[in-house]
Amino acid sequence: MELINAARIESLEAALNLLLQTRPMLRERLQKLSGKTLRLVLLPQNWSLLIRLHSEGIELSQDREFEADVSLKGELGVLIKLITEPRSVLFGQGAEIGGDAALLQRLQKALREPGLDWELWLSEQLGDLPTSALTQAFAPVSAAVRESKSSLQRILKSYLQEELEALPPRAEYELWANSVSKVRTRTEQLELRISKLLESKLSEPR
Amino acid sequence: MSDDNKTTHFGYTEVPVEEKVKRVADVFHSVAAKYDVMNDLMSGGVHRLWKRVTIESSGARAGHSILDIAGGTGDLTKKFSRIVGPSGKVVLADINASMLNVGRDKLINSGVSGNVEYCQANAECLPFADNTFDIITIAFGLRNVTDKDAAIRSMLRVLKPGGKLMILEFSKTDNPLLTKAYDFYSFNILPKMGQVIANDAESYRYLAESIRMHPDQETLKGMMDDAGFVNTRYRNMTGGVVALHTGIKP
Repeated sequence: MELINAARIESLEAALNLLLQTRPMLRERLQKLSGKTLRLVLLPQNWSLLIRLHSEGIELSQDREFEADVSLKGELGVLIKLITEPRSVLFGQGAEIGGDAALLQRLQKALREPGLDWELWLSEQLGDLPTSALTQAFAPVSAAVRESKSSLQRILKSYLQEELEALPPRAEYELWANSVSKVRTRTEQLELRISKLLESKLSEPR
Repeated sequence: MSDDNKTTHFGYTEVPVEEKVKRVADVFHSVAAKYDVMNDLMSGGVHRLWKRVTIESSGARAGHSILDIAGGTGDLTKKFSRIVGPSGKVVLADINASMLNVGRDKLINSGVSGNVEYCQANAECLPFADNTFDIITIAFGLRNVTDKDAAIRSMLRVLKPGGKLMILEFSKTDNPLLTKAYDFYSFNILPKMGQVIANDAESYRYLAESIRMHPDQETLKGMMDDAGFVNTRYRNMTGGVVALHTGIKP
């Protein structure tokens, strides 16, 4: 169970950091909170998650003893709203808040990202974990499978590209494909010119 | 027997003590560049989970001083560095210069700097003052140390009173079926993977043999008790393929 939980956290952490790589503005805003920690305690499972913001991204941990800068306890939907909606009133929303409430407000602003529905994104990552007992039982397994799959894909891609150099990086491939396309166009133009030259040569009076 | 004639095991082979040091160094010089890729492939990525559990059990906090012995390519150091923050310190130590170089480059490239120091050091005689560190970790390193008792005593010396030693190491499985499968994997598949990926089957054969020669869970716990640690305990992971031993300096 310990390793399954670790796999679930590893998977979620990898997904979060991947998301940050594709959203530089969000990443930049979070970098300003580097060193800060937030604890989420999800009810009714009482599942605790420590979120540590650092200069390169986000780290997740199940260290229950660590005293976070701010802590939130409640159901997942309530907590997500609290964290990601800047106008959301902090208190009286069905969540217990402890620690630095001002940090929570800064986090709310930092996490506001156009086109990103955090609740949807998280549900994609976690499955229906908070709402279904059945999924709750299977979510760790699916997380472990996802982790193994994505981890192996990552390793294989990196091995083929960087170690064996059997596959080119995407940028290199696109450059190559672009060059091929240009050569093809030039060849067609040359063919046309040659045929025109031949035609004019043939039509010249002898 | 004079010191000159002392022997020890290098995998399944009995060799003079001095030769083991050199041979282990050669193994890690050879595998350093491909160490991370091989670890991922050999364990299916599970070594990351073993290390994660170790870090989460460490009790590391902002301001702590942590020594990561045999830290190799810096997986633990990277995470500890973020936990201890600018007021803390992590020392990445390894006896092998090649591993240390790979680890340093990897950490710098991933933005880890400021609170990390690097030190080429032998675990048997650590070059630090008494009572220096809050936490010491040695992950997948102790089995390569020639005099394990000396290393454990050395770690006790440099830990602060109340400080914690954590030894993450391959160990003995308790399920006969798992043991069979594990043995087959270690002695048939692992060296072949080493051959294909790192062009070095011998080093990976040594790694498998050294795991079998490493003290089992209870023996290692006894060694920690004998050295003077208290509250020593261990927990198995993946059916005992790996065990995490912890002990506190009184």
